[in-house]
Amino acid sequence: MSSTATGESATKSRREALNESSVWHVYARRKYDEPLHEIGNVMADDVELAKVYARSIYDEFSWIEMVLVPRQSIVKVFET
Amino acid sequence: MASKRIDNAALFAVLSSLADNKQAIGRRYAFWSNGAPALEAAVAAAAMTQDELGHARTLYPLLDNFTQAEAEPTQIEPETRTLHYSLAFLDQDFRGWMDFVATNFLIDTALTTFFEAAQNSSYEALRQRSRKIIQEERIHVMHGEGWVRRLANAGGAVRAAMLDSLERLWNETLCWFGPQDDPVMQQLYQEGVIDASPDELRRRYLHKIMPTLSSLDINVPVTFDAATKSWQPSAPLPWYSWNATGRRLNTSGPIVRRWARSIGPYRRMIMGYNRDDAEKTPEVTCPYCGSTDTELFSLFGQQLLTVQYYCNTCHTPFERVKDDDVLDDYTAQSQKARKEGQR
Repeated sequence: MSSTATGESATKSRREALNESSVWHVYARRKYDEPLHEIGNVMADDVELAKVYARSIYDEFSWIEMVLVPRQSIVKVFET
Repeated sequence: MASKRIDNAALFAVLSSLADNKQAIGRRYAFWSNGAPALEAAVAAAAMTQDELGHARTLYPLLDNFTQAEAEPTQIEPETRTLHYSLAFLDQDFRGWMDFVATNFLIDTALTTFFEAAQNSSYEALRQRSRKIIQEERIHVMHGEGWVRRLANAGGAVRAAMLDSLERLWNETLCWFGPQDDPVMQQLYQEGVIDASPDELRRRYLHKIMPTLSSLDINVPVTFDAATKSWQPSAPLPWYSWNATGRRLNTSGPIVRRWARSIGPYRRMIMGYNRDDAEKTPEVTCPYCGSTDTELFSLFGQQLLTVQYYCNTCHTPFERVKDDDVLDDYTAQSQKARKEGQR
């Protein structure tokens, strides 16, 4: 359903079992005529927990939209 | 004035129980909003604390609208109230983070099941509040389910400790809805305050929590009835210790006391960090199992301001806010390393 890493965590070593490894970039905007911009990130292997964390940590404004982008999905075009 | 009051002992009793449970959950959550195993979870716990106390705050004033309030006016204001019609599980401090997760997943979801049954309530004040509470509880459900998944999938002692917390809360939560012939809940059902009988509420509740539990192979005394497509308790519930007045499993009734105004030294501590504490204890307690057999594991946790500790008893990592001492040690270490590198 939602958990991306729960299947793997069973095979992970015990020492790593409760270590979160997935980073989610948090994007939000306050107005419709404003683009989404990155406001921070959260770490959680469970996407539902990532949503809860993002909502409670980045609650400084009443956003009209907030999205999460998994860091592993980001494709780097170039870097100088 | 007095003639305007509603004479309804059943509704008064259930509203008292809802408010007291919300208040107790808020107080217990508050304690852990600075002791969660990770900084993100601590922030979420603080937000949920505010929600729960907020729900209590919106429910307590309703009590004053009832004739039943006249008997003991001091029991109406949460500040002077000494009765606690909340679950016996909430009488004591949580034993650890697992109790937080169990309360979040089991009790809070049970109360939400009730509020959902009151969305079209004949009692307007409850109808409005229910809708608002259900909206806020959506996040709490995600948090509870997410943590149950995490802890269950971690396996070993962590999973076992969480199962223990779920088990200690299980019966009392299912009993909160009352026996099927509970005169209080049955009256609310007949009057249209809620749209379900106790057994129906229990069925709806199990329908909410069982998908998560069964997907994680967590065994609870519940069976799936294929004919009615519903989950049913497979073992008799312990009604012999049911206290109908307090709506809790404790034959001696509700405890009578006032919430302490202060929560002591914990107020000044944020995830183990306290700059002003002169008598800093070297022990770092594991939030999962309470053991002090812990060691510094990594200088960086999930966020820059946290360090990771490792519990040697239950074999799990957890976070603390960085202490000045840790930073001093680190600075000294890196300076030493740099000097050695120059040579």
